[in-house]
Amino acid sequence: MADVGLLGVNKWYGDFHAVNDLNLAINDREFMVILGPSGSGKTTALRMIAGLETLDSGEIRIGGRRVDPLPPKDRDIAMVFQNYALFAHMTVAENIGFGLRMAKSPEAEVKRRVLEVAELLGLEQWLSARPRHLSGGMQQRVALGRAIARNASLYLMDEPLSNLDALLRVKTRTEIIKLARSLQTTVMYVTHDQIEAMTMAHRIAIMKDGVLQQVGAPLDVYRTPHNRFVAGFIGMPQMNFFEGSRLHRDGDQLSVDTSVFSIPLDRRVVAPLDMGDEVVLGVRPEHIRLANPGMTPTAEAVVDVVEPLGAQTLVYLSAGRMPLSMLIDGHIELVPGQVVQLTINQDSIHLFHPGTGSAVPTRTLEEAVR
Amino acid sequence: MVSTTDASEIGLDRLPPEAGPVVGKDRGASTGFLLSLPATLLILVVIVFPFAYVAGMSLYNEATGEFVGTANFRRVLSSTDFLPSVRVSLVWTISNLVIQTVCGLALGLFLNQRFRGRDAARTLFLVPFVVPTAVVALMFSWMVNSTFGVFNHLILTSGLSDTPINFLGDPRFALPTVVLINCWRWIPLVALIIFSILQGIPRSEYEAARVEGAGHWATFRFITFPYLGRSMTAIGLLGTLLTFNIFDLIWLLTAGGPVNRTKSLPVLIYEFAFGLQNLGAAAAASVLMFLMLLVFTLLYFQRRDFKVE
Ligand SMILES: Nc1ncnc2c1ncn2[C@@H]1O[C@H](COP(=O)(O)OP(=O)(O)OP(=O)(O)O)[C@@H](O)[C@H]1O
Ligand SMILES: [Mg+2]
Repeated sequence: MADVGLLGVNKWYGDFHAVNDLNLAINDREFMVILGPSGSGKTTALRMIAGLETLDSGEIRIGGRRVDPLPPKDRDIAMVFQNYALFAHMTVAENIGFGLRMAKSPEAEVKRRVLEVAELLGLEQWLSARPRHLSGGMQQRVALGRAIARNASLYLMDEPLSNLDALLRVKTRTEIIKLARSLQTTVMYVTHDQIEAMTMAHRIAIMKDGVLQQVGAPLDVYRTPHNRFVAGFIGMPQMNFFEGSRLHRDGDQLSVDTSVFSIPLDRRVVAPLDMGDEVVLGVRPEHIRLANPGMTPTAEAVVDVVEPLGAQTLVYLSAGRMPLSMLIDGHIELVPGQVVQLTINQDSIHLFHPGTGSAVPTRTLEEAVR
Repeated sequence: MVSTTDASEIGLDRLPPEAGPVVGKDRGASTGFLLSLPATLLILVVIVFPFAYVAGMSLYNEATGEFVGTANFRRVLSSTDFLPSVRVSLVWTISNLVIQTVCGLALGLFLNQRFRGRDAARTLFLVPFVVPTAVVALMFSWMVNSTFGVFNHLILTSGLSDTPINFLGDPRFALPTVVLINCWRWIPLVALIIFSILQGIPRSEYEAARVEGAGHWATFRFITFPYLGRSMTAIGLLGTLLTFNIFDLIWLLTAGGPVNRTKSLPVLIYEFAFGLQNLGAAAAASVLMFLMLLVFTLLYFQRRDFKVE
């Protein structure tokens, strides 16, 4: 139980800027997920908090206490490593009890706590086994068990599910959430899996190339990505981007025009953009619909590939020469080659600066009046 | 249709293709035999045959060629030199192993630290091992010489003693001196082996230990040591056998003296063979030594570390 603060944290490996001026505040008992593609500096950030890596500049605070000059054992943290890092020559029970023994807890207390944790994680029968005799899922639990056996202020988890198969992953995911809730504790959880991030997090911190891109609740990040990277990284299937779109005004009517279709806008663009300036239009596949008969469609497209996912169907189409994807209800049947009419709700579109990739802020007329 | 027994009787080449799996199995077995043949022959020629030859020798009077039964063995066992030699060999082997393990471990752990010039140090470490035994013996004979050796110079000038010490000639110092010279030669190799084992221990286990609050001693005891232990049992066996068998360095430094203080079993065997010209007794002593090492090896293999889990 503690809040965590990272203030202007930097890490260089030689000339490589692995973590770039990271500022991040995590609330007490928050489940914060650090999300980013491979090499974005997530592990490095976590290891600096753990004390396994030194900072080149900046400050780390846990529970208001500055910890970055302290060794790991004085930071009151527990960590679940990506590859488990179980002690190969110890039994499951010895692994789980190791931290307590190091802290010189009375032997009876260690035994009691090990049993308690084993029960919680369903490891009772494995207590005297060596880690290498266990399946990946079991090893995972031992790693979790070792971390939670001690009461730490902060739990750090580095892609703890990445080595598990899909089914076990979903199951363990739920278990970790339950665990975090019952422990009433602060968790920093690193992953590159956006589904894990969306389902587990109170808030997500998205990183790229060592730079923090955005912090927010899962749905906020999904709905209002601050830049093109976040927009593309969050959401499955990925958002459609239409390069070379332009803002266009015809009398009072504002619109955003791609080379083949045009979406009218009732919103004012509040950004240093002029009419005719280039923008990147972003539309999520789930926000493209088939037009009902009688409606004015936004665009016409030809179906290329149909991928039924069950409840939903992912459809790849071409509008003119522009490829796009669309997520529709599973019971609608389309065939390749079919010509379809599409509508795109103007409230669900995103605009990005073509150069910087940052989101172009827009305001509805009502908001502007208010 | 051809039955299985027929297939093996008529030979593989004439088999109809339908008998595929059976052929495959038979061919597998005979191929296996053929493939292991060179190794088997090699073992026969270089190990079994010479040993059988020596064992045979031990039963004959080599000078007259007459069969003498256990006479050679009785001659060896009743020799006043035999038991003291066994004792010297045991002291020699155990002290070498203990000193080499302790110093090798310390140096290996030191090498595992990151410091400037570590790679250069590693290369330097190989030097004692590359120097030929004869050169090592000569070099140290000079260095420990009682009149002009550098060690005695240091001892006299530092005032540790006012008379020079005859390291190789004094019965009190001869064996320890030879042991230490042998250690000088082998410790760097042991250190390098330990270093390479240390390099193979997953870093993440050390990191986990740090996070869990383990200090230096606990980390060594619970992580480093178990990893070393396993590999060290295998290396320990090799080291014991190698050390027990060392003859050249001892012979070159002291030739077994003074007053037999450094006469280990290999030196004794050499004396039987070439000093006393009694090849039969030398062969009998060799067989006895072989049996001792065999028993040791068999007992050693009873250790749990060698059992396949
Ligand atoms: N010890 C190191 N020496 C040099 N470069 C390093 C070191 N550790 C990490 N890096 C580099 O820093 C960058 C960030 O690494 P980091 O492990 O933090 O990424 P990550 O976001 O955790 O990625 P992944 O999802 O692959 O685990 C990578 O490009 C990596 O190559
Ligand atoms: Mg990582």
